[in-house]
Amino acid sequence: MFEDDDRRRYAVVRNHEDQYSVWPEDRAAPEGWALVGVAGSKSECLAHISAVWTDLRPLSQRS
Amino acid sequence: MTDLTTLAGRVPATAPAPAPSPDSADETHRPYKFLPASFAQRRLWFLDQLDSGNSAYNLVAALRLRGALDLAALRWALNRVVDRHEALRTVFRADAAGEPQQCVAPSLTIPLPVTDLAAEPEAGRAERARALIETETEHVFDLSRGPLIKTLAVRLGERDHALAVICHHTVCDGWSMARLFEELSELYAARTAGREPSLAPLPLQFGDHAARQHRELAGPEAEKALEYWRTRLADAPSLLELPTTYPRPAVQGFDGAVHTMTLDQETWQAVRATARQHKATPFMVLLSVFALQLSRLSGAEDLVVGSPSAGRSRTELAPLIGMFVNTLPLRVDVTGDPSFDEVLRRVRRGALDAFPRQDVPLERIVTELGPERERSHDPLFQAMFAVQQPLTTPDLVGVDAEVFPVSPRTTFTDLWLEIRPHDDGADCFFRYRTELFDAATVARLARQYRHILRTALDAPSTPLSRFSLADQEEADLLLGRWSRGPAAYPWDGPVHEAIDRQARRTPEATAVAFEGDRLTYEQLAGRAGQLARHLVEGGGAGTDAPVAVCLPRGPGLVTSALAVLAAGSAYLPLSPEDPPARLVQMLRAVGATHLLTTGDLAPLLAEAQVPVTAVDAFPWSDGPRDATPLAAGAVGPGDLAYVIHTSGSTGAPKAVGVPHRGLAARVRSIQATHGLDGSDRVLHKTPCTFDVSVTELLWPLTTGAALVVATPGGHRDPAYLVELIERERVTTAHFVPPLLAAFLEELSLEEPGLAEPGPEEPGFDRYRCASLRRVLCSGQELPRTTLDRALGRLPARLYNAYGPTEASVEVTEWECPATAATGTERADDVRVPIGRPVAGAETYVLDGELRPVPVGVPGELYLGGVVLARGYLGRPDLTADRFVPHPYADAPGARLYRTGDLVCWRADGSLDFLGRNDHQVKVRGVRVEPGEIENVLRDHPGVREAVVIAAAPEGGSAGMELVAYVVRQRRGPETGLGVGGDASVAGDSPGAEDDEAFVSALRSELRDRLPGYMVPAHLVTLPALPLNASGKVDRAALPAPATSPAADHAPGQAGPCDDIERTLAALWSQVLGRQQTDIDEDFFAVGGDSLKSIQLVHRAREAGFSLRVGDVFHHPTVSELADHVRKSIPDRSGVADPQGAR
Repeated sequence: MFEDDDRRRYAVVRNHEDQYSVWPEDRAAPEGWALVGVAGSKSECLAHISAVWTDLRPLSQRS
Repeated sequence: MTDLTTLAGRVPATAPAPAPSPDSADETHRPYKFLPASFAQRRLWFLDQLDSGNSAYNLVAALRLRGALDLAALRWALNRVVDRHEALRTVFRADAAGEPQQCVAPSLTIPLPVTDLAAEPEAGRAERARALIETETEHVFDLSRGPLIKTLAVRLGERDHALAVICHHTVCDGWSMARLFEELSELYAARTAGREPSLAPLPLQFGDHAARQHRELAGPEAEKALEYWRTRLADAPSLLELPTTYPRPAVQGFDGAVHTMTLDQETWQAVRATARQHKATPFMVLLSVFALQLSRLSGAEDLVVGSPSAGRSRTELAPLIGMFVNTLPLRVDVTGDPSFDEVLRRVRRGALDAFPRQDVPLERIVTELGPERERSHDPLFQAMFAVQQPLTTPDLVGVDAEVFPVSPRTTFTDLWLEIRPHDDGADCFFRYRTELFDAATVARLARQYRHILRTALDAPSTPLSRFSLADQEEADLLLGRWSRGPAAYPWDGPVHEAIDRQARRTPEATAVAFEGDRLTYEQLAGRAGQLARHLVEGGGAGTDAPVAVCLPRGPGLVTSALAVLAAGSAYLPLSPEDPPARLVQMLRAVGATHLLTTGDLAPLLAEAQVPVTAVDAFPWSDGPRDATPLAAGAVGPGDLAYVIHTSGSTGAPKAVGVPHRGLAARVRSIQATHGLDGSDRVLHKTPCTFDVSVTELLWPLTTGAALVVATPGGHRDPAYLVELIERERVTTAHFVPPLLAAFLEELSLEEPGLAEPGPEEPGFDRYRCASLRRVLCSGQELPRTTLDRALGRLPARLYNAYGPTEASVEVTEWECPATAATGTERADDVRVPIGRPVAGAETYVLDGELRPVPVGVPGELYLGGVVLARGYLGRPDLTADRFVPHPYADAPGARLYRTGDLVCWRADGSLDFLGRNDHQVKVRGVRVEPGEIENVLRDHPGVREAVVIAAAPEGGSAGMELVAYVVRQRRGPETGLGVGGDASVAGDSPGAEDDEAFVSALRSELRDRLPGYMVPAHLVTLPALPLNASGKVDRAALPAPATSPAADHAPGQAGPCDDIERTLAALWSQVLGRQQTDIDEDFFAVGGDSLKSIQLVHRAREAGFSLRVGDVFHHPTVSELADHVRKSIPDRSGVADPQGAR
């Protein structure tokens, strides 16, 4: 599902700790993961994540 | 006792042994009739020549006959059937050219021996009868002598008998058995009623059919049909790679067993309904499900399944007995993730296309496509499927007949699913090769088949990828009990606080021992506190701030690591052996806030512009400690404990940040396993850049044990380690497997004259390194041979563990049972498990769609739980790619780390490590696991270490070649420890100059033990394997192999060098119809096939060589075959090799 030569479309997802990942667009993401509204090839999704996920610390670590 | 009566009075004399010439005669003085063998008969005859003495192609049908049976009438009737059908009187002989001929005896009398069990206890009689018939079915027919039919009766009681008819497949098939029983009914009825039997004369005999087949196959129609098969099977995969229980042997055998499963009436009706809806047959529906299952199990989207067709499309063939059945290689394409509906459509199309071409014999197709060259598996297909009609039982007058189920313990294919519908549903018979599968595995396959069938029937539009192989019960087991380790230990503070508490309990105990220096717990904690305060006061420390430690191994390193944690920072170990430029890059990339190093190294790293403290010049004050806690402040479970770099496939090292939560959990779980105490002395030798060093360094200090620190570089020197372990009485040590192998070899070299005590004997002090209580292995696959040697040479308990840098050190562990060394397990269980998840860890084995894969099936290992790293610092994209949403979590929003490692579940719930996903290679289209070959290499007593890789051959031709690198076992003293067959090492000629002979012997060993496609093209001996800093094998640093042995000679120049080679080369040229044969040419690569191999052997025998057909497969070049000939007849005069054995 996450193979590098995968031709699927993915969606960018985020959890309550503000951690990002990708998930196949045609499937419901596991509980606790919300779509952020960006989808595309895996590399497009990962490029988006690179731009927006600037603090790798889980949200609960940041206070 | 069994009373064996031969009603027939005598066993008829069989034909004389020599091949008959047309004028030879049997005992009746009437000549045999000679006819060409049919293609199917040729194939079976060849297989019989190849594996003489196998009973896999015997057919059996048995009946239970209740009532007043007239045995004499039955025997009479059976013999009349033999009279009517020439096939049943046929044997096979090779003609002068090595071609098989049918030889039909003018008459034949077969006996009907009766075994009387009536005197035995009634309860066991039927079972005894069954066993008796099954044993008789293993009778080996001599195809050249016959008879190829055998009948027997078992008397179970006054009015209760069993009758078995056993035939060789060359003269009979399943349909024929039904015909035989039909004729038997009429003949028996006529005999008992005293009337003439009314059986219509046969329109033709089997021999007429065979002759016609030869004529027709030469015609244009047949050529068109053959063209269909040629096109249909072009580039088909040669091997269906099912996840077998045991590795595939070099030469397949025929031992088989059957697992039976029932489909209930409702399921069967649903099969029929689905078939009707799709204008298909139940056969097509059930085959589609089988193909789907095989595809998912093997990962192949293109597969070939053999399926028997009756081969009696002409009505005139219907009444004949003979070998008509033809197995069709049905290719199934499941590419593009089709729905089940679509798979069914494709299977239907394929079957409808194949049906009109069913008369092309499999033998022709095999010859045409030329793939028969491996003795490890059958050509074209290795799985078969059939839907059979129930055997019609004969209607014997006055007797109630029913089928008496018997199950021969043989098979001629890897996996054969045969489905027989009946009144209450259908029975599924899974016949399997027992050298590949065990009963439990096949039982799981059967359950899986039923589960997939039901899913397909319920929701036929489900795409193939959405089918789950595991039924709910298995999925619950895999995802629940097996995947999850025990609950994580509750957070009770970071590991350095535990060390602080220990230091207050045992202040005077030795914490660190290094080259005669000692630090007590109080000194260590005091110094670490001072350095921590220095860091905090300097402003370079704080939550998640990486503080680099770049120090040679020693007390300073231990103190610094502890100090960084106590300062609330993240410990970032760097190797002083790395190039400064690389270190500078890492310091910058990760944003290190401070650097602890030596005065010498500091200037080299100045470019990083990170504040530096020279630890070797630090003004320690070793006075008594006050009550100040070691830690400068509170550390939370989510704060980073350490940052370790892991090499990325793209080259740039990735910095993995691991939180305190995971580290603390691992320190507690490893302590729960091993229970260190103040009496333990733990070797600290793992390079600090390998995450194992973190627990190796911190865990012992939470228990009161002493750390025995190896000198820098000492971890690479087995002799030093032996000396250090003995001098410091080390109890606990970690090794990466290659180092363990070298260490063990060192042990056996050092102690000449020491007899090895058995493990059960007292007196472990007679071992070297007798103080060792436990040896921990991880970092790389632990080979079984290394494990066995370790258990034989060390008095310690041995543990294997697994964990990537992206988790807090080890996430699975396994204690290797001491029994592994006794050889009581299956010798081919070559893998050492990596164990089960540790407390707080979750291990999932998932397929490409993140579904759990069943036991025994390879899948990717995914990790979850508190052990996960935070991610790759500064690389959100890589982190998001590798740390993915967790579909099976209890807590919402959890992540899984995908390891890229292939593993599979063992039946006991532990995990086997199979290798890196990206190390998997395909050779000649077949997936090969290098680890499997490495294990066989290491088994050789002359091999210490082995690595197998796939490389593109020089010259850039397509495809990959396997290259094996081996390090030879150094020879111990003559009286060295006798572990692992050292005696045979001593038998090898010593020294490096015999590398060539060694490699040749090794290659021969590989051929004996591995399928041909797994034998490496190149075998390279190395003085040592290149290792990286962590002691793991550095594959990138392996040298390219020299040109292949076959390339040593330019084409046409590899002439024969003695009479044996000259004779063999001449025979090859004759058989292959060519001018000249090089001695290194592969018979099967230059036009040889199965029948030509028989002709070759036939002619070689005439030339006086004692060869079997299998020898040509095993030694496919003139030079190798000549070697084999020389070995089998070393004293052969006249043609002796003047140079002696090569």
